[in-house]
Amino acid sequence: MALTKGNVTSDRRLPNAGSYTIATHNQNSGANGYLFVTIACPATTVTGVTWNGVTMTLVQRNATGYSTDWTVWRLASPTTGVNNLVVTMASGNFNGVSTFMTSFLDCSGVGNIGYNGIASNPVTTSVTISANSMVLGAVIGGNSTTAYIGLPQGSNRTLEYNDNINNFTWGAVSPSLTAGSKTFEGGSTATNIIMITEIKEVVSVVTSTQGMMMMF
Amino acid sequence: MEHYYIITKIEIINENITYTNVGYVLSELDVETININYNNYSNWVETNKNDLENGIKLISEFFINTPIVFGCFTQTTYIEGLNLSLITNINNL
Repeated sequence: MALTKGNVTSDRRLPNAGSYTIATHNQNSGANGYLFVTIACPATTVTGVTWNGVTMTLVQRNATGYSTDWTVWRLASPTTGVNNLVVTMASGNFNGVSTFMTSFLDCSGVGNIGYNGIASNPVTTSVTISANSMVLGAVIGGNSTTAYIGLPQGSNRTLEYNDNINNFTWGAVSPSLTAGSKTFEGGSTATNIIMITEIKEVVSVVTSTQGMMMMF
Repeated sequence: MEHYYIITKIEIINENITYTNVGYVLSELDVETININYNNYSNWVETNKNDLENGIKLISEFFINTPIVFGCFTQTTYIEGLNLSLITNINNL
């Protein structure tokens, strides 16, 4: 089965506390479910994320030049349906925090990742991906005027969130892409940084009665 | 793909800031209207950020004069299972 993007929830709030709960995401039912969460957290760091009480695994963390802790978290086989996402930070946060949740089915987890923290406009980073992977792309910039993200470069996607976090952050998810080294690009009218996470599809292994193995 | 904008009630309960989802809207114009008060709240937090971070002020001080704030800062692509209703009259939250 092909990798499928499921429900998406985005949230930008002032936690005004050391943790916050998002109770509005519905994890899709189906085989090989996965949940990915991207968080842009100014002024302090995210120390943990849980879904329905289960600890999520950190995929990447970048301490950015925008004084923002930028992380991606994953969870295999998350509890389906509506559950609480709880984000805990190192200290109380009185800044806008951006949280982007994406569900996937027939997903085998995370592949390669990329980050370019040298602020420029446009900003690019290259990642080698497997066939049929999707890409979770995010940008932080000094403003969001004419904000865009190309996944890959030249294929700008509809922004799935665009949040004020003292600076601004926006992002999107690509459709399934072909294998190979890809360059991804973000931009606005200010300088920006970019973070990429490859989402891989499940590879089915079928063994025939003659002992032949085929991978799909 | 449809986007559902969640309306959240913010208040102080037992000295803790509490968020309760009360419904949803479909119109970005409704979001802007609902967020007028939320923006006042955000501006107060921004103005007093240093004092809040240092414990000189408490977030509860804002709610003395405005006990409840409604905000629209979450959106989702799937509303089923949330047990939330479409709010057609945002002046009667």
